Amino acid sequence: MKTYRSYVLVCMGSGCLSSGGKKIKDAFVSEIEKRGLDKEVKVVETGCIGVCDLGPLAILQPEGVVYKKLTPLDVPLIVEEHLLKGRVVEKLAYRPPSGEKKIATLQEIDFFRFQQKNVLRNCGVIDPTSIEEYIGADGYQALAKVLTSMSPEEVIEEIKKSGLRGRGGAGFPTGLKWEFARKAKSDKKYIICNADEGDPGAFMDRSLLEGDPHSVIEGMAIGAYAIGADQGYIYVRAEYPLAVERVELAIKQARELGLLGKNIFDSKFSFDVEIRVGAGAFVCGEETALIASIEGRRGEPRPRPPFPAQSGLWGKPTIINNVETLANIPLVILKGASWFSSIGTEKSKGTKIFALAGDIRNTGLVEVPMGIPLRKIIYDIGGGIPKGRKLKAVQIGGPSGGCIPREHLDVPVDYESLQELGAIMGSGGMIVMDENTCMVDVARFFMEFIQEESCGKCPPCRIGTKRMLEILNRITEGKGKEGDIERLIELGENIKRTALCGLGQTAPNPVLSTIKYFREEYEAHIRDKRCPARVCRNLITYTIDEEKCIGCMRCVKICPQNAIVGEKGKPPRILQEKCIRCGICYENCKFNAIKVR
Amino acid sequence: MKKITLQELNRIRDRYKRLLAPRKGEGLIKVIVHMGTCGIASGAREVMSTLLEEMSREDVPEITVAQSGCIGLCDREPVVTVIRSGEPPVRYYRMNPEKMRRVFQEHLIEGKIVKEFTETGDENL
Repeated sequence: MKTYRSYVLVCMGSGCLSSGGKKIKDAFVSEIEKRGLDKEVKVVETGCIGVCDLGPLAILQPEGVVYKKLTPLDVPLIVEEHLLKGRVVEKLAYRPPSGEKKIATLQEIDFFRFQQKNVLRNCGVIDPTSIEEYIGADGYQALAKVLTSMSPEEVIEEIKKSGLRGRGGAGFPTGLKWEFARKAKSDKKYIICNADEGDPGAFMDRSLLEGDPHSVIEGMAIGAYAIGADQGYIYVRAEYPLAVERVELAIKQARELGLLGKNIFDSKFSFDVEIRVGAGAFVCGEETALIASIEGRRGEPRPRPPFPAQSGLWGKPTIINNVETLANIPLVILKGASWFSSIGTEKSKGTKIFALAGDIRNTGLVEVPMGIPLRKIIYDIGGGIPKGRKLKAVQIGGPSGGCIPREHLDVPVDYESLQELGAIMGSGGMIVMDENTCMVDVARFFMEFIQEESCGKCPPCRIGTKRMLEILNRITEGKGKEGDIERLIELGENIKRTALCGLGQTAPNPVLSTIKYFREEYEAHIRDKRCPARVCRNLITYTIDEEKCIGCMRCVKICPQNAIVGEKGKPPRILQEKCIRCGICYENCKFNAIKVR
Repeated sequence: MKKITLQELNRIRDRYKRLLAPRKGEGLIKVIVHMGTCGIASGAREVMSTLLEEMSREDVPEITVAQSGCIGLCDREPVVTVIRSGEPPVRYYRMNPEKMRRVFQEHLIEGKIVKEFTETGDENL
């Protein structure tokens, strides 16, 4: 068993891979070999480390130095200085944005310091392609414990006691779901892992499957034992090729060791898992549509009840759990229900992973205890809003969720508190928006998304969201009418009440919540034909401030429409009928001489 | 297809657990090999290799190895510092592979400081 003095952890999550992580890894391997350090230093490919905007990145342990935004040309220097001579390469190392001189190590960086990595404990530490390393991190111990010393009822009792609730969005108690399926009488039962992550900007499940695939498989095996299933399916979208590849490998490794298959640990329990690749329809994240898709039918939901726990896949009792929910299971079993329920709030236990995106300094993947104030996530972990701008709102829960405006920033992040404000916990997408965001446009974006993804089976969703989108389009084009807001609310409430599945029932949320908190913005669009955030193109005009303009002609040269005319030394003129309001002149003027109205 | 037993699972876990500790910056024992130019010239690299070789044995605890620069006693290099959590650091001077193996067995495994290698040969130090 070979040990090493230093480890180079190269992030191989999809984010870093697409910015060139593989080249960085290869450069480290060859450079370390060239320097003859390959017996002392090991390069490890890990899953997503979380700070995606700093990628491609490498963490050098045990020192905990984070090297960011690397190119292959940086690698020889790091190997020579850091690994050979033991000196940190300051110019490439991460520094806190506060402008301190000091280089922060992994443990000192705010982004990591304020997180509680339970579910993500292995992401960024172990090599996701090595089952041995997962076992080294206490992997499959929970399954062993369950199979050798617990009855299925005891497992369900433990999960119920822990207070774990589904991480896919609705927050249904996991133990209760399992109990329903346990009590259902049948010769065959199934467990399905829902990895059809579809919210725009959300990548929690993808990162877990890429970075720690075995934890999901182990969670599934424990669930299967609890309800009496012997077959599992992981339904994952085709847009996640790396996740599919890593899970496939993990299943193969688990089968080779007999951790999947017949009579696991010589018990009577047999279980196997297969992957089903979905074609990326948003509605297939809805459980009945997902089941239809696995069965080879068109991915459309059906009315519930019967719930899948009674009649699911091929009419058999089936539980469907989200990726993150399943990854929590081994932890609950190993560390105990009381440990788990000591984290979080009274009704929301444990931690939650969020994908931070939008107008925020540190975009990436964060895991925090339930009940943490939203402000802490945005400012302490996320590092606040860049460019000195002000926060306007945080969109939580994707197309099914809503906005939390700035005045409610101290809301504790748990299922009930978010719902009270008109948002939902959702699967974990968190989009931060600064003052330059038009809330009507945001609502329109999500409605357009829903409209494209609506399966068309039930009229409230098919026709209702279409009408809502038409009204929103009109408003943003400056053709809004009195009464539009009331019509949006009425339509929204009706769709919520009457749509067939969760997709339709939650689709109006982004519109309703932006009306609730930013009604005056809607009114400005409709009555004054004005977009306060200056986003909606039909409602803004660009003009030249003749006092500030020095006549440099920069805008005249870069205007893609040749809509700015004039001669050197004099303020030019913008031809409004030619202008497409792209804003390029505004962004490029060095004298702030372009005015927007 | 072979099937893993609980004992085998635990064996794999114990072997790999030690690999993971340094990746999290953890480890009960920290060993620093001082590898300035003077250290390397007098054989610190061989000392490091010996240390890593010894660590590859099955029965060793979680150890973090670090390299650092010269501590200013260039004539007494190679220098190795051992820090066990909760105890003051112990410094060993004029190390070589043979001495490293003894320090490894006696101090890192058995917990007894190897007094004779800690002498600097200068009473004032």
